[in-house]
Amino acid sequence: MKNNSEYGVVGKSKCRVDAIEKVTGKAKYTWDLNLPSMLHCKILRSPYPHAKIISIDTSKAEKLSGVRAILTPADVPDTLFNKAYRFSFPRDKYKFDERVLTRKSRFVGDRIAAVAADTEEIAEHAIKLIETKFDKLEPIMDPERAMEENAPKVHSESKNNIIQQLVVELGDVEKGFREADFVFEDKFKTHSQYHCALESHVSIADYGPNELTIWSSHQAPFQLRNMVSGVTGIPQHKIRVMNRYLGGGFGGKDEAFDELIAALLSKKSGRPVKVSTDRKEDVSATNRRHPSVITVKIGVKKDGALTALQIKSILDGGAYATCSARVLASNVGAPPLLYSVNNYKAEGFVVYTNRVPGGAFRGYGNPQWVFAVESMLDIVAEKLGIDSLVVRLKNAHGEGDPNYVTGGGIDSCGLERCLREGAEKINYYGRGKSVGAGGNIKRGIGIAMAVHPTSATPSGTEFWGALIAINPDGTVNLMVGTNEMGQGSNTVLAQIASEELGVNYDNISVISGDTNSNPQQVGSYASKTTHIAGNAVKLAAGDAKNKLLKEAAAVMDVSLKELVLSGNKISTKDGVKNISFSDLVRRIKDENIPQIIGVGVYKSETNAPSYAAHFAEVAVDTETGRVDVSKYVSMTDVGQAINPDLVEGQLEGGHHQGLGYALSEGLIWDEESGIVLNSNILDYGMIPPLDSPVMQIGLVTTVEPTGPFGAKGAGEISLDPVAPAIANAIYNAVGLRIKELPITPDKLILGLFEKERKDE
Amino acid sequence: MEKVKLIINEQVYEVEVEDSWTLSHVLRDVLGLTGTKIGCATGECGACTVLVDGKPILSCLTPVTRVLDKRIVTIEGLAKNGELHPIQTAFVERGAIQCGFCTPGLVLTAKAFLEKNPDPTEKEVREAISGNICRCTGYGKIVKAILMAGKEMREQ
Repeated sequence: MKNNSEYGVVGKSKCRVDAIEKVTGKAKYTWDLNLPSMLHCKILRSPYPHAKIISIDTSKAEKLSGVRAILTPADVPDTLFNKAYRFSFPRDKYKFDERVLTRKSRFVGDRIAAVAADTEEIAEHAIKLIETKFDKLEPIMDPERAMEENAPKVHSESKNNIIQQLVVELGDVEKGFREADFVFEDKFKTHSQYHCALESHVSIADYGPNELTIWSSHQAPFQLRNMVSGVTGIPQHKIRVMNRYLGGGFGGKDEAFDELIAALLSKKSGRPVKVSTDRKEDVSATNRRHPSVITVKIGVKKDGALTALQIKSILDGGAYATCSARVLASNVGAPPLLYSVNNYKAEGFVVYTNRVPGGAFRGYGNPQWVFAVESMLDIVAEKLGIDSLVVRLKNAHGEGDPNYVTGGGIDSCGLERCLREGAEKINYYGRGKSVGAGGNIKRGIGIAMAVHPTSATPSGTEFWGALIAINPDGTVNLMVGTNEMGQGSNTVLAQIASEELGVNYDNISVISGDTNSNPQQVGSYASKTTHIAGNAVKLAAGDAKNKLLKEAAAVMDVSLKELVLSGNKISTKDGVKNISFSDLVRRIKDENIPQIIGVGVYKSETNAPSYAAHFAEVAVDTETGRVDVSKYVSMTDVGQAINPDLVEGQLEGGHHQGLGYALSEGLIWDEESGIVLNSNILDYGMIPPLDSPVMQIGLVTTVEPTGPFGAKGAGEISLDPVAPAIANAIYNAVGLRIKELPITPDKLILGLFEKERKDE
Repeated sequence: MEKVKLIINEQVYEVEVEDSWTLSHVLRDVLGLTGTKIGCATGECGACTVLVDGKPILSCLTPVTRVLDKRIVTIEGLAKNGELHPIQTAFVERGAIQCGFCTPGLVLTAKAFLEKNPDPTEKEVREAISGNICRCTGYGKIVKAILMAGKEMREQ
């Protein structure tokens, strides 16, 4: 494979294809769409974490002027579904435990009834007029307690509260511990993070005799179509799902939410219905990151080499199963892709509780274990008296090491270079204990590394289709479902098509976001659009190119193998004969076939892991507990970046979201009432611009042989190592090990106080 | 309902409004100017920022009756004859746009700020955009874009 610098468009930071639309306010999001005669929906949500619903009386609401349709559990199909189920994954990996509206509340915010009315205000008013009687049940909020035999059951039809239990075993972990010079063990806790995409969940459904049309701010329209079809019984060719630009996703829009309610209300009222989640609902009642309790046990030789790694994870899955089993698989399955350890055992549980369900969120089970194990590795390094960087270099996975998930090897891995180059950049070798200590401000540098697979292969079939149609004037329409949520996939796929086809980048339009005009695709999740959609686009472009060259040989009267297509023209290799792309297309059209179409369907065979090393410098105020991140350096191996500026931007955003995860964000519950107390943007606590560090973001280039032009995923690796890098930096600064996220000032002050008392 | 005059992007609009309506509702749902975004409707995210007599305001909290006879500028009014404003150009060139939902509010906040403070420090820029949440970028490229636009506007 060629080096990035040898390509024409690939590897260049082309401007986003959607930039002008977005900066002028022309870009349309689902939130912006309004249809003639459209109704607005509001959902009645449960005020109790665990309660049987005894009765629902809608008579007063029905009488309110402007109310057009009401749904209660009696009005919706009794079909059980899973809003995260993917048709491209084995069905037995999912629990189907949810109905469109519920007869039993399993979390504060569970859906009980829905109203469609002429305005949002009327719908809101009508919701308040619905009289519901509850029989309150004891809630179960703690995942460890939920696993106990006598714990209240969230789903009475289940044997217990365990959604999924998994064991992963490589080698012999007990043998590994026997071979170790030292064995260390510790326990870590992580919390619940909320996506906070700036456009909250929104969908519109229009039910007609020939077609159910759905517009949704959704990352996987074909999965959504499949789910809606399954519950409503409408065949897939009669359902059309469209997405516009998504105002952010981060995994939060990977699962369906209120589209079914919109569809059923539209059927009942005969009018289009829009369901827009307000911010409070979005924070407190849509899926979020799984909290975890993770115990790590490590066996090491004196020189820091790992002989055994064992983890036990308990994830809080909340009220419904969603994708929890998959998140758990990712959580217990990924560590051996980062460390070269022959003896590994992980036991994982994901359990029901009466909290809002866990779901897909950038990182997908990885940020939790990376925090635990990468914190643990620092503890081990200190106990052994070995530098943290040295311990990581000793145990880091490298090229050619086994990829136990796929059964093959790691084909590209720049982890060692990430570690070494990042260390240089932040002057890691100059760090000491409490660097630059002075007064109550203590400085420290921390390090953490991570791995993130590109796609969920081989757990499910990851595939994508793409079509390329050559227009009569020689321009190109690329039809590929891309779910543009900010990651820049439309841009990157146009670059790939341009490179492969030899047609100018500006002459390519991407047509996406429509299940009726795009070939099937599994959806934009698991850091894989560039890799998998990119490969499909490359195949489609290659197919179109082969067809064009065949016609060109006839038109130009030369042999096919003499021809090359690049720079918008077709030439003989000796350069003597050439014809512009548009002239060729015109002549083919006149003389031979009226349209050239290239087809590409790609199925992934590998999970091509991406790697990263992060370095944080923090200044800890020992009086206030405030942590300032004064420097942040990251080095990431995403293979060959198709568009380096876009990758850098996505990484920076992911780091920032990771800093929030580490230091300030998190849902806070009143444990008794089950209510989320900080269900608004300000109280939720994202890191504001003034506290966001200037980051140095670097790419380590490797060439992934299975990637289009050598590319791997970038979306999620951006967040995975942030929290442990910060925790390790804080330890380096003040000698305090915080084992529970987020690392808020109160935890630090309390910890420092206790440490001082112990030290005395 | 009463009929009022609004001056938006140098155009006069006669609109029937109710006293309780917010400016964002009129812009988006009555006039179809959907470039102004709603991220929270409670004044916390800044996505709905528009300029009223040159000052940034949160249109989701502002009653429409408060802005009669005032000059309202929305994101749709910034580019002239297809030519981008220097702040818009800087956002495009600096890669300050990802999902784009916060972009209109940030561009307008930056416009009001740079007109008041044409040569700001980086810290001043960060302070100025503190009311505008961006979940995609981590702010770095947005800050650079605003600094770059400031330079461009000073040189014009």
